[in-house]
Amino acid sequence: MRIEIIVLICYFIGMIGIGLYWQRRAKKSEDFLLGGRSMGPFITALTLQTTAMSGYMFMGGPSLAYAIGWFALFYAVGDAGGGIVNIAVMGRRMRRLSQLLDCISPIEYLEKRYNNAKPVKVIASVICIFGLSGYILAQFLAAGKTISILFNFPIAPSLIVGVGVILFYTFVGGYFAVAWTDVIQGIIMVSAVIGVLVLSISKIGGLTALNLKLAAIDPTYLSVWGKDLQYQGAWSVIAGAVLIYLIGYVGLPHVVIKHMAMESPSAAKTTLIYATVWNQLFIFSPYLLGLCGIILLPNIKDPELVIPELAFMMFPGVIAAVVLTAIMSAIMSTVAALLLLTGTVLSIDLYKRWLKPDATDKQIVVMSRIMIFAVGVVGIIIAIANPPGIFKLVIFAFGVMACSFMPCYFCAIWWKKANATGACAAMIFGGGTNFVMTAMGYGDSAFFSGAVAGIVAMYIGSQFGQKTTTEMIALIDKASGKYAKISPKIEKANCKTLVSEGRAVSNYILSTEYMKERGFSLSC
Amino acid sequence: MLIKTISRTFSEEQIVGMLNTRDENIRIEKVDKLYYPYAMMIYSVKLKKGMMSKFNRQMMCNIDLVCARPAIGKGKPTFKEIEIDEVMAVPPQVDKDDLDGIGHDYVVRIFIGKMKILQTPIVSVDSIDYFHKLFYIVHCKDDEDKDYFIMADSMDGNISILEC
Repeated sequence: MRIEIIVLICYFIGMIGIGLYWQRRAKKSEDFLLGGRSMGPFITALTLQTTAMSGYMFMGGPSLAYAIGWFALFYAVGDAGGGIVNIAVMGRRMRRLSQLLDCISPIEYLEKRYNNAKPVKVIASVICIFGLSGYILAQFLAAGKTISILFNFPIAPSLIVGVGVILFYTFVGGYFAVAWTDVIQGIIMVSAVIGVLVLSISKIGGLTALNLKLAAIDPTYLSVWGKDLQYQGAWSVIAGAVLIYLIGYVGLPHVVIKHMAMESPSAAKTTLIYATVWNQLFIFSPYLLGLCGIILLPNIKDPELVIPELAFMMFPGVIAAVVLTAIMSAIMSTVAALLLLTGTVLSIDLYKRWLKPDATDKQIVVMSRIMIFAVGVVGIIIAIANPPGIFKLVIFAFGVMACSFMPCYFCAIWWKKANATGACAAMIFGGGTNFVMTAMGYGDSAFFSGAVAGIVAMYIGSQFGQKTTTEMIALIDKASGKYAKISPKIEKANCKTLVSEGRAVSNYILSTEYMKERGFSLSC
Repeated sequence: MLIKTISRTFSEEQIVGMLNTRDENIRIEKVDKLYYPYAMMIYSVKLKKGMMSKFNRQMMCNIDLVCARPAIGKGKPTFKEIEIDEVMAVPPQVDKDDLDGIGHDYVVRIFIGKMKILQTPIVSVDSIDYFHKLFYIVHCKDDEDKDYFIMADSMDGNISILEC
């Protein structure tokens, strides 16, 4: 039996064994299963980062960098989030308006801004499900490819095995998981990425040597316009590369779980600081590894396997197999979280809300698990029938979401006349244009075309339908800071989870004698 | 008015200190207290007996009694009773008969969205407690002497800019 198979089996037996051992010792199961337990900010941030590591990170990103050179880093810039790119155009005002509207999710924000119109919510939800499905499918492909390289199987059976393992983990993983399995897996994954990156860069001779060697192969690898200068002058493509994740992420149907600290006062959120550091550190690593692959793996058949191949090159077989197995674990945990989210949305927000309002808890759980299984089966069929590349699939999904939502978010705060009709038109035409152009093979222009189509649709659509109410216009003015000028540092610290209380308290102190009786003296 | 509130919280001085740390130029005119009503629902989430009983747990679900927003409570609070002016407490607006439904649905949603197991939990209310959480209302002025207000959470120091 190949060493990798032995390592894989031993790894999973080990993780299951750790889980069972600690479960037997524990008097009750860990609260972390429900997202409650903290193991200290450093470890919590580490496990947060490892759950964010997905098939895209290990396969999609490196394959793009391998194909196109340093241009790929534009996607990393967007992926790194608002901490890198300051969205001065939307950031502060959007946060303020979402607070004024008492919203804790992006879909809720759109719904409330655009007259609480049901079509806005329905269309936005459908687009989110589409985006989420594309992202999940990409993870299935990544799992299949990992199994394929580990076992040297053809891709189709690898996909079936990979998705089967993911579904098994999603349905019964809770019986074996404890906080320590997450920590161990996290340490292995982080060590793997750092290890492969450091060793690869060292083997090449450093970052300068990397660039010199890339230039020696093809100087356009270093160009901001991409290999062969294929995007020269195409600022719209660069804008798309940066914005596609920045805005696309907002389209994912987050399940915002509100937590209330109850025990004792806690200081500022150091977990968030650690998580930001981890995130910034690891966002760029896959792309750098893709560049290393150009030098070290010039004849690789499938660029999506750059990181696994580099792992086998840099580490002895056993360690490389452990690394790949840890990658598989990362994919599994990411997809399990996405599948559970999908199950929640489909079973509660669709099934219970619209089809069977009196559904029992058991029916909801059963429906959730059936939906998850169906997603898995459909995913396998699509992946086997016509497997797209992981990078292209993720870009497609995020591109449709970004083109759908960008005009809506932008106009929500910068154009008071934007209304529900305009928002629906923008989502349909913006996302639809991106979808059609990508399907027709014009993927490079899809984002820009979709964005333009969405903006035009927003303008035309807003000429019809119900106008923005005067109350909403007043809130938009407040969000734009036409009243008091609050410092950006305080604005940034505005906490999303307090929006409900904030709004209620605002209403209370404005409508009662609180200020007068408590001695507040106001300028106006 | 007699209310029940959480014992250990940040003091006014600590909150002002945190705000000054965030923005050294902030102009604070006055800080006052406001108490916000919640219901603390402790739910029993049970699976099967035997080995699966390890998954039985209690979950704390705090429900905002003004907006009916649920939240998972973290930690074991200790309470104290204090006397306050009635104007310092935001009056509740949620019907107490609706609380179990809100909390139950939220707990089930969390369970479906997080727990990687096949079984359906049996969710029942163990206890309901009513309390008020302290928020600090901080009156500030900008460079042009325009007023604005910040609400600061006495438990974790998080802030929210009020729409006043």
